[in-house]
Amino acid sequence: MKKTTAALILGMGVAFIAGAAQASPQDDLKAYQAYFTKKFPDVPYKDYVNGVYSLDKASREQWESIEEFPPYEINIEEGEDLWNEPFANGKGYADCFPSYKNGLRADYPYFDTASGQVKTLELAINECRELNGEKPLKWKTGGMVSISSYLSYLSRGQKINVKIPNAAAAAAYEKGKRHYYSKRGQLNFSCANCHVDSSGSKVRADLLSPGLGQVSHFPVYRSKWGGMGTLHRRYGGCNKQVRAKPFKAQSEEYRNLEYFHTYMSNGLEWNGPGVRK
Amino acid sequence: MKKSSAIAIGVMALFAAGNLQAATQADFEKSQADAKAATAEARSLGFEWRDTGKMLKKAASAAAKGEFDTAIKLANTAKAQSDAAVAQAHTQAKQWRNSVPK
Repeated sequence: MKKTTAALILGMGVAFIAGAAQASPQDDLKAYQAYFTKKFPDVPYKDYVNGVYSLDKASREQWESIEEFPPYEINIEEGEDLWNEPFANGKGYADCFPSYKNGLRADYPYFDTASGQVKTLELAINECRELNGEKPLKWKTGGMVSISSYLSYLSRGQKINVKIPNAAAAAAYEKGKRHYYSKRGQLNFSCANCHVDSSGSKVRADLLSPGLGQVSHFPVYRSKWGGMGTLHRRYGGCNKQVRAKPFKAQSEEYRNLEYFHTYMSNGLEWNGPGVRK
Repeated sequence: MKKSSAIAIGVMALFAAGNLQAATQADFEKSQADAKAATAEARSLGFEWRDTGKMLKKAASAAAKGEFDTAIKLANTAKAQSDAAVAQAHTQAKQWRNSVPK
């Protein structure tokens, strides 16, 4: 056999093995969707964005009555006021995000190739502030959550459509995926243990929501918090609950996790802000 | 009592006395250093547990009050947890893919 032919066959073999060892994000998504549609065959696909309320009739009724006068309405109004308030230099958020009315929420998270990192909505909001000489907002509560609520509300109905444009983005996705499936903390649980394997089961008095559609409703009013919070606030809480030390909100770890986690809901609709127990 | 028994009891008593010697600042500092090193390793791997930092702070407070036995116990617990966290990190590095739906 000629040397070049042998080398070609060897190369193809290596590539095949490498490809077989690591599924693509598209394959991951198909497998993730299939897992839940098989586990919960009676849930209409679009309804996954409603979390446990797509699984449990009694709590759905309670939730629907709360949604008639939702507690996050005040945050949407506050968010709109904050959004329209000019910065000290006379400019405003709309100068950073001129087409915000078209559904800004749906543009995030995305992989920013120039800076080599995942950019989230909250990160972009603070970047806009700092660009205009304003102090950054706290990440998990307060003004940031209200602005995020307003933008999420404007984006309701937009499709979740996270893209993975290049190898660096794929690496960030892979890091997020690794966090999601790694057991951590003294209780030795991964995100997947609760929200894939045990989704629909109870942990004490609470139903575990499926991972599919899980990010769509953030930021969220949680009864447990008695207030609003962001996705990274919840990530920190979940890490603490399994007795792992939480990462900082908007840390690279959590932004990569958000990137993977949101990709797993591609095709479903943004429906934030939301209310949960 | 036989002389040999008395000697045996005496030797055992000396051993016991040696083990009952009060823990010292130096003993605590050794336990604290070991615990901090283990916790730092867990942190560098991204797998630090929730309570080890608090335990180390409590250990330092106890030591500052001269309560070295308590301080060492806390530091040793923190070390044990962080050792487990490091082991968890290494195991998960090999195993996490097994949980991905196919």
